[in-house]
Amino acid sequence: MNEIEIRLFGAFRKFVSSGSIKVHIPSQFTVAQLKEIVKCELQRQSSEFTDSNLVYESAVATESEVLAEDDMVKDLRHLALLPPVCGG
Amino acid sequence: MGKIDVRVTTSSLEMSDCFSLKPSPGHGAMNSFVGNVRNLNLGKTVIKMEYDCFIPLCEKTFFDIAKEAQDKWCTDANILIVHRHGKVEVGEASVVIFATTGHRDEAYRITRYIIEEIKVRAPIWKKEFYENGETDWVRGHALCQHRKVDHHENGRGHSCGREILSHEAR
Repeated sequence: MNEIEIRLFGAFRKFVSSGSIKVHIPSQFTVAQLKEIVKCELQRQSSEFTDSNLVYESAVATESEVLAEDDMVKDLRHLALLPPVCGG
Repeated sequence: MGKIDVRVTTSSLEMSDCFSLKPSPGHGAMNSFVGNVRNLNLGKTVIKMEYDCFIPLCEKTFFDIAKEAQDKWCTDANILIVHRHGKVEVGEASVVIFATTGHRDEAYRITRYIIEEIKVRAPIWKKEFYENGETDWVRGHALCQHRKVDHHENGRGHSCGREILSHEAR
């Protein structure tokens, strides 16, 4: 099992004050599978988190790129969960 | 190629700083877009805004968008993009975009392209603070995870074309 730190932004911040969560996943795992684990961890950490769609609408990214749902999360220790964006 | 300068900052955006972007000798046009925090959104009175950014990816996204704009309209355009992070008061600038080019048409197109792409691609979020003491994170546009595959295949531009989820008046 690999430990991955997931940084949280935007609307996720109200559920986890530290701004990140840690999850453990098998070495061969897709982004879509990771999002299921993250959703469960958010539900475990905050009873206020009830909007699962927010996770499904979110992207998973490294510091340099947004990952596709079927990308493998392999050799990555730090990722970010990015809810729908609204810059400008 | 022209110069590209992109930044995310917690400091106020001063127009004088933005004019540090010098046009090249062959540039006859400079165009700017400035986005300000307004006091009203969807009928609610907004008293301030807090911007959240994933800074490394945000600055890379700004650079990628600026490079795309150069490739589309003017490879020697000089481009500056600066976006605020943290709390921003009503009336303050949240984003400034400058472009200098040979002629005005490219400068207009580049600044328009950049702000439209920032709104749907840059990892930035905003929390509105309302007059009645409530706050809310503005819901926006889901990032397209497949952009790296399909964003050059569509001649209409680089946005992924997903439905806008926002309740924000754009």
